[in-house]
Formats: sequence, C-alpha cells, structure tokens
Amino acid sequence: MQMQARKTGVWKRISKSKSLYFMIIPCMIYTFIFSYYPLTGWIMAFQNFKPAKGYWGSKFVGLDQFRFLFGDFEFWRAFRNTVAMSLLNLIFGFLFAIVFALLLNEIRHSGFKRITQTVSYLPHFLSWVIVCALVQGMLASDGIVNEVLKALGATDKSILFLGEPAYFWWVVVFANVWKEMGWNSIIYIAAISGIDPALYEAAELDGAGRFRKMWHVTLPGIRSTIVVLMIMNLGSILNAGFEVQYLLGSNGLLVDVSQTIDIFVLKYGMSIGNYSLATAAGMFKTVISVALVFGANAIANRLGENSLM
Amino acid sequence: MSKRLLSIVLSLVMLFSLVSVAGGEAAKDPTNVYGGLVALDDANDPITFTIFVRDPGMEPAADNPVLKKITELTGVTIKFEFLVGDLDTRLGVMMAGEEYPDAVFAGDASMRLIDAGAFIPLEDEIPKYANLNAMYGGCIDNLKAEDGHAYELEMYGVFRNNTVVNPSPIFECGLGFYIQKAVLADAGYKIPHTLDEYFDMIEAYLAKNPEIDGVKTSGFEILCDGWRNWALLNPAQNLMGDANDGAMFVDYQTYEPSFYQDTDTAYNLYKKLNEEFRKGVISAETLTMSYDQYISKLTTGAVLGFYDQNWNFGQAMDLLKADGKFDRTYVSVPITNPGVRDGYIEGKNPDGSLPTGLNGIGITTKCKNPERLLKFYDWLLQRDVQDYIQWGEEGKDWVRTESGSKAFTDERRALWRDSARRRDETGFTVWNYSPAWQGIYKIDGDPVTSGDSAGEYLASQSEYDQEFLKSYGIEYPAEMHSEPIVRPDYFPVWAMSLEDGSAAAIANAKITDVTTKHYSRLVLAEDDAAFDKIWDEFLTEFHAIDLDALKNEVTRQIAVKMGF
Amino acid sequence: MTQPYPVMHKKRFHIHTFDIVNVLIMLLVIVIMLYPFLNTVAVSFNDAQDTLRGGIGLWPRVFSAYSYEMVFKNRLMMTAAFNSVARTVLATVLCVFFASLVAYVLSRQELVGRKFITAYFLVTMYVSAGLIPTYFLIKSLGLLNNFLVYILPGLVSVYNVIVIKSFIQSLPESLSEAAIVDGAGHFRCYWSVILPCCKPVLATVALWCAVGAWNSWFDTFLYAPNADHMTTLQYEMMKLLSSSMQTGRDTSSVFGNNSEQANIITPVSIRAAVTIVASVPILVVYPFLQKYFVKGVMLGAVKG
Repeated sequence: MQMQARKTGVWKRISKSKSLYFMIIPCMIYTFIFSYYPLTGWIMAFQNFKPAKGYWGSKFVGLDQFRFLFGDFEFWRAFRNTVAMSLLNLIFGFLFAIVFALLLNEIRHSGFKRITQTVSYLPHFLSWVIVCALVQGMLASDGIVNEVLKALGATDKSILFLGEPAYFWWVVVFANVWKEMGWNSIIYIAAISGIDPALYEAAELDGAGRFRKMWHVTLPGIRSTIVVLMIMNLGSILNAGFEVQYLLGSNGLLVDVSQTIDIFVLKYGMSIGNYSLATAAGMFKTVISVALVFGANAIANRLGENSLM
Repeated sequence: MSKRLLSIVLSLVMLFSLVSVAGGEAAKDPTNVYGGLVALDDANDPITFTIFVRDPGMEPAADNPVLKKITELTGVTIKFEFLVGDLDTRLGVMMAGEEYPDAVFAGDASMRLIDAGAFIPLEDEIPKYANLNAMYGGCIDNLKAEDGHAYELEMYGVFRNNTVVNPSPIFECGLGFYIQKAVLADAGYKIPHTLDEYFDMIEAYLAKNPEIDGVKTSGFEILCDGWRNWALLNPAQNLMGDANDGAMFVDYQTYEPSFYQDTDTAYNLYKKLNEEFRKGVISAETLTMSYDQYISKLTTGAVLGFYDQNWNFGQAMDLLKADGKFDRTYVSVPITNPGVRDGYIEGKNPDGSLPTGLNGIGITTKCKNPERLLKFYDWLLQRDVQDYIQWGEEGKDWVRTESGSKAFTDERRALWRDSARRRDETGFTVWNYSPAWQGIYKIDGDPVTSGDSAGEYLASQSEYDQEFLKSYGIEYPAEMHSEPIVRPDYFPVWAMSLEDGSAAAIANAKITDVTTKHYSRLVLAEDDAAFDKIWDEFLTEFHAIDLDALKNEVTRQIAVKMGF
Repeated sequence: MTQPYPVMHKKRFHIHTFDIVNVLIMLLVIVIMLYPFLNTVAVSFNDAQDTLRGGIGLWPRVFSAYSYEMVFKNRLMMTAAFNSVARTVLATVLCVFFASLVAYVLSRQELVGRKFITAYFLVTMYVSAGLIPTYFLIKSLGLLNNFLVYILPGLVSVYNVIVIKSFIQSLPESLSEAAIVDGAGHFRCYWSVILPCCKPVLATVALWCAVGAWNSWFDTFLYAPNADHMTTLQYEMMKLLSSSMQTGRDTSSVFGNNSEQANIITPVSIRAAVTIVASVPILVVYPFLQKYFVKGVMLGAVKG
C-alpha cells in the first residue's frame, strides 16, 4: 500500500482522499471571504483615511502612519508595557490554571468537585469594571490587603498599591488570574477527562502514588494541549488589552507603566478619528504575532512536541 | 438683469418685514401661527422619523401620554436611537456605509458628518417656517459651515432672536473650588478668594474636627480617573480669571490664546497642593481613587473641599440631602490669583448668543420627508406646546409663586426629578432632542423651562440653604462670585473641533497625557527640591509637544468666529 | 482490580494529609472566587442610591429590586430574548460542527498540502482587517439588519479548530484507521468515530461558543443598531447600562432639596443586575456540559 502511494503522483494522492477536500474547500472559501478579502482595507494604513471618502477618495500619505507610531517614544514604552504584562499573564495564567486543574482532578468527592469547578469560573462572567472596582477596594489604604499586612506587622503604614509603578504589573497579573483561572482550567479539565484510564491502571500496578500518577500520567496527558495553547496565546502577546490597565492605571502616577499599545492606539487613533493609525498598528501586531507563532511552532516541532501544524 | 431685479425685490421684502417686526406689537410673538395645541393638517398621515442621538439613553415608554398626544396632533412619531458603545465607532460605520437615519444629533462630532456630506442644507428652508425662523433667522449666517451652507438646527442655548431673552438668573456656579457649607459657617460666613484663604479655612476646620460623623475628615480631594481629569488639570486657568475654556487660556483684550499649563500660576497651584499634601490635608490616595470611590467618600460628608463640576458629584449631593445633612453640602467659591477678578461663571448675553453651527440636529440626505420633520419642529416651538411639555397644566402641575414666577407643584417636581418617570410620563425626551426655547419669554416675562425659573429654584431650596444664603445676604449661591462675564463669541476653546488626526488634535491629546502624569507627581513630591526637579522634567516634556500646531489652530478658529 | 487495598493502606497517611490540604486549597478557591460574584448579587439587589455610599459586602443593605425591574421593563424584551437564545443555539451548533470538521481534516496525515492549509487557517487568527473594512464586507454581503450576521462571521473559529485538532491527534490512531479500512468514507469516520470520542473537548468548545454568542452585543451595535427585530438581550442591557451613565450628568438633579428619594439608576447597580441576568442562563446550562468532563475522570477513578 505505502509503496504504491509513494509511486503515484500528487494528484493521485489528492484524488484518493478527495472527500477530505470536499470537506475543507468550502471552509477555505468561507475563510477567504471573511478573513482575507477584507484585508484590502490595509490600504488604509498608507492613507489618511476618512470614512466619508472611502478607500479611493482618501489621501495617500505613504508611511506617515508608521513613522508616527515608531517615531514616538510613548509607543515603545507602550510596547514594553504590553509585552511585559502579556508575558506575566501568560506564565502565571497558565501556571495557575494547570495547577488548579490538576488539584481539582485529585478531589474524590464528585459533588464537591463539581461545585468547586463551577464556582471557580464565576469571576469570568464579571466585567472588568466590576473586578477592577473590587481590586481597588481591596488595595485601598483601608482595604483588606493593607489591613492584613498591618496585622502581620509587615508594614506600619498603608501601602499605596495603585500609586506605585513597581507593583502595577503584578496587580494586573493578580486581577487576571483571579478573573480567568477557573475559566482557563476548563480546557485542561476536559483534556484530563480524555486520558485513557488504562494508563492510570498501569501506573498503579507499578506502585505509583498520587504525585507520581499526576506527574507521569496526568501531566503528560495534557501536555500537548498545554503546548498548543501556549503557542497560540504567544501570538496574542501584543494584545494585553486595555480595560484593566485603563481602569486601574490611568492615573498620572502609573501611566508610564500602564499604557498599552491598545490604549495608545485608542488615544491617538480612534478617539481622534484616525482609523489609519489603528490599521497601521494592527498590521504591526499581525506581523509580530505571525512571526512569533510560526517561530514557536518550529521550535516545538524540533523539540518533538505536538504542535499546531 | 433678472438676477438683479430679484435681489432688489428680495431686499425690499426684507425691508418691509423688518419694519413690520419693529412696528406691529402682534408680530412680536411669532409662535402663534398654529394656534396652540392644534392638530397639523397632515396629522392623519402617520410618519416615523428615526433620530440618532450622540448620548446614551433609553427610549420613552410606548404609552407615554404626552408623546401619544403629540403624535395624535402631528402624525409624527420620533424613534430615538441612543448611543450604545463608542460614538466614534458608530459614526465611523455610519459614514462609511452612508447608512444614515432621518436625522442625527452628533454634538461636537457634527463636523465629520458635515464633511461627509451627510446633511441637507437648511438655510433656504428655515425662513419658510415661522417658528424656526423666529429662532434661527436672526443668526442664520452663524449657522453656516465653512462651505456656506447651514446644516444644523442648533440646540441648547438662546440665539439672537425676538421671542425670548437670555438672562434667566444664574443660580449656581457650575464648577470650581467647592467648599463645605459647614466650613464657611464655622469661618463666620466669609468668602475665600485665594488658594491661601481657601486652605486656611479648611485647615482650621480640620484641626477642630478630625472626625465627622465617625469618619476621618479629609481636607481636599483631587479626582483624576480616566477622562474625569479636570480637578487635576484645569484649575490654573480659573485662577487666572478664565472660565472653563479648555486647553488654552485666552486673553479677552487681544484674543491671543496661550498655554496656562506651564505658567507661574500653575507652578504656584501645584506647589500649594504639594504643601497641603505634606501637611496631611490632601492624601496621596486621592490621586489613585476611582470615580465610584470618590463619590462614596463625598457621601460621608467628611470631605471639606474639592475642585469639580457640579454634574459630576450631583449624586453625592443628593444623598447628603436625603440624609438631611444640608450643612455638609458644597458651594463653589471664587478662588483666583490674588487681585484677579474671578470669571468662573459664563455670563449670558441678554440678546442671546451666536450658534456654533455644530451643536445641533442635522437632517440627513436619507431623510424620508424633510418637510414633515421641519414642520414638526416648527410646531413644537410654539409657546403653547413648549409650555405643555415643560410645565404641564396650571394648578395641577405648576403654580404662580408670590413673586409672579412659576414653580412646580410637589408632585410634578418629584416626577420631573425621577429620570425614569420623566422619560416615560412627560415629553421631556422629545423636548430635549429637538430645537427648543430656553430663557425668559419677552412678551410676558415667564420662564421657558423650570431650569429658567427663579420661583422654581427658590421653592426647591431647603430651610438650611435659605438660612445659609441669608447669612451671606444673597439670593442665589452664584452671587458669591463676581458678576458673570459675557463670553466672547469664540468661547469656549474646548468646543472647537480639531480635524481628525491633525497635528493640533495630536498635540491636544499629548498635553493631557503629559500634564496628568507630571501634575500627579508634583502634588506628591517629597520636598521642594524634588518638586522643582519634577517641574523641570515637566517643562522639558511639555515643550517637546508641537504646541504651536494647537495654538495656531485655536488662533485661526478664534479669528473665524470673532470675524477678524 | 487485583488487590487494590494493600496499596491504599500503605499510602494512607500520605494520602490523608494531601487530601486535607487539597480540600483546604479548594475551599480557599471557592471563597476567593465566590466573593466577587456574591458581592455583585448583593449590589444588584441593593438600592442604587444607597450603593453610592460604598461598602456593600455579601448582603444588600437597603433591599431593592428596582434595577431588575428596569432590566425587564422593556418593550423589546421578548424579541431580544428570542434573538439571543436563537443566535446562541445556532451559533454554538454550527460553530462546533465546522470547527470539528476542519479539525478532523487537518488531523489527517494523508491530506496533501496539510501544512499549507493549516497555516492558511492559522494566520487568520492574528490578522484583523479592522472595523471599517469588515463593515464594508458585511454591507456588501447584504447582512446589515439580517439575522445571519449573528451566525456567519464567526462560523469557523481557528482557535477552536486547533484545540479540537490537538485532541483528535491525541486519540489512538487505530480508531480511525479501523474505520477507514472498513470502507467508511471520511465524513462517516469523522461523524461516527471521531466525534463521539471528542465529547470533552467538544463540550468545552461549545461552552466557549455559547458564552461568546450569548455575551456579544457589538455586532448588533455595528450592524443593526436601530432595527427592533434584530435586537438582543445583551444589546438591550448595554443600552440600559449606558443610559444609566447618562443620568449622572443631568444637572437638573443638582438643584434643590431632594429629601424625597427618587428611584435612580446608576451604572454600578445596573451593571450588577445585568451581569447576574446575563450569567444565570450559562450557570444553568453548565451542569449539563459538565458531565462530559467528569465522566472520563470518574471512569479512571473507578478503575484505579
């Protein structure tokens, strides 16, 4: 069979699995229409686009929009903040979600397990405005965090958490973990439930305890999921969002560490009607993301990990 | 030839019409052409207009009795599309797709729609309608955009006209340095005029009252949360004697705009705030507070002073009043640089102001029947209709006060103050988003709206406030300030529209960024040396902005509006 | 099956402490995660004006259901609820179907040009044309004010494709090979062999799609902002929420002696009520999905 397949040409191989193409080609056409075709709009990045004038009526300005972006020191500061917060979120977000999924898996009482899981993702449904208001309350001078620190004798004066640049990124990471840990763990819990029970039996026969089973069966069982999600999320590294940062960090003391690319673009793009700048920034983000994802994917391939392609 | 003839005829007609306005008493109230609450001739031909409004809001209930009546009499139903989400996004797709509703009220963003050719010109239409003409006819040239056409029926304001006069009294100053009434009472009902006097009063009261109702007293709050940043950024221009003008200070002698952000006044202001921070009158936390935290702090009544605009903390005032803590409510005081006349209050030009040509309703090219809509607005502008919507029925909804002014009955006042009931049970929403009169009717001196009525204002004051005003020997809190200054026609800078993405627009955004950042740090500086170091850093970053771009644009627009 | 007990006995003490610590950790998680939600419930049932004072904990201070009354007192409520449910159900079913279909195809080794096709899909995840070009597309497809605009644009979600694909690849290959050798076509192999094995991941993806469709309002805002028949629950609630932000600016409420308390709506209270109203349906549906996650684990536990 295999020998034969190698001898026959590409077209033979294609026609042999032509039902696969019947399944995929409509989806590719769909994707072309909804994702690739609108990219003609990237032309806006080289214009001073006015919605009223359309693509053809707007003035071409060459690379002016890019020059404005890259020539502004604030942009690079926003770039740094974005990457830093994204990386921290990525690392801690994954860590907490995975550890939580593993620990939850060890709970024996199924009712308790279900309740814990349901409760754990509740914060996901709260908007950032609500979560940030709670974070602000917790970190206030008379908030619970300062009260606990004072009771422990760690500090005698209230710490101004939201006025100190050094703390800000950690506050954002904490808020993210709080809001999304349970939600992000759902996929791992699903992956764990897909692990072949025979593997646990085998491990048990080898005399493996709880930790060894966790380490040698469960974790490897969800490893490919972790790697795949990791690579995909790496591509979103320039999307640190803007809500938390704006809600918690727009005050003058924190603006240097809180401004992200999205906030920068909102300020100098959308809010003053400059769609072209937003498009230029979007193109820049796309290039970086695609490079990162394909790079990470290649590395994963070389390491023999299960990867995206 | 014929053109010339036409123009002669036209000018003769104009002349006669002017004469008749000047001569005949009856012509003074042109708002009677329909004869009150009388049906229009096409009332049996129902039509619905969709109007996009730049504000968020809710549509009035379908069974709103007033709106039902209006529809019955005119055949017109107005369906409002209120803003949900971001205005720029909504307008962007609207213009890109040319999917316009029948009419649009876009506020400051109108310029974009005008540029996009979204609106139909109205300068030839307005004179055809008696009431619209009464309102806009006297200033139609000012309604015109740079291309020579008038596109908008401007709202909010009294424009040069013969029907109403502007100066309904100004009751309260709407912004500035607010101070708790108890602090003023404690200081023997003096009026502070400088920052030093203001903070001396606060410090004295703070020393005597470290706690108010069990809450630690706070001397002064500075809210700086996102776009609510004026408490930190704006006061310097007021100290220099200006009102709330915007990013620039304008000299009323030369009309030259200048930046106040880096002046000695600004330096001294932040120096003073820094001193108060170091004395413990201002806490560091105030600069990191969210709006909600700020409001909840004000509701305790334990805050002695702050800088703000009244609509921003009105909810906190309502709670204090509901708790009966009238002495813990606030009043704006005229703080300026020593020797400078305070100019917080924008005076009203008795003849009416000039419209900007931007802040109004535009009828779009997609409107299904512009004539019907204009006729509807014309009908709405009748005295009887306006009174019906604003005041309701005499005796049931309003009464004459002793001084002859008009005041709501308690029931009507409660209804009017409950925004949900006002929306669902009165015609307020349609009134609020249509051309409407404001001020005082010339013909009999009656107030047009409840907000214009001295009788209504005084009737709604608490006993404490009446006593408080008596102690100062004044009738309205606004009298603590100097006589309001009537602003020049250019005013204000903040309403000038800057071209999208232009250097001026970018400079404007940068100024906000740089000042927010450095002013916060100035207030919290550890000592004088640190303060001066931050100030120097600020100057460097501030002057790195393309300030001239904004200055030139503002200068240009002032020149256009002042007719230089 | 063969003498499990002795093993258990040996490890008893160890297991014991671990279990206790683990349960304690989970209890801590419950407290931390439940607090914000319960706080939101408390705020939503508290009087809006009183909420401005701050300091609401787990229980309303001045009970009021006015915020909920405002949410439900809406002439478009029925239309909005119907549209929301319809778009959520349709979008979820179709989204799961297409994502798993593409995932299946991309997981087949014999697909010629597999790398290219995967990359073709993958890139779209990081590419965005922006608001206006997308609007032009929707307009030219005739989707403005058309219910299909809620379904079509998100039909093939690449993120979900990749997640499902990686799950399929972790299944034993013997499964599908047996089916193919048996002469089943690819579609049958996908439908009756692979899909049933993917239940946990499909449940996850369904949850993602459902929550996404249920919570979205931006498409209504962009593509059908003033069409009554197109409105959704979230859009109506966004309207209410934004209008509550407007009331604070109304200067008429600044004047006067307000000893009579008016019912007011504030962003904080409306947002709380809206959040609860929006999340309850998801919370109700979730347990049905949850059984797909737990089953496999239970199986493992029983056998172990």
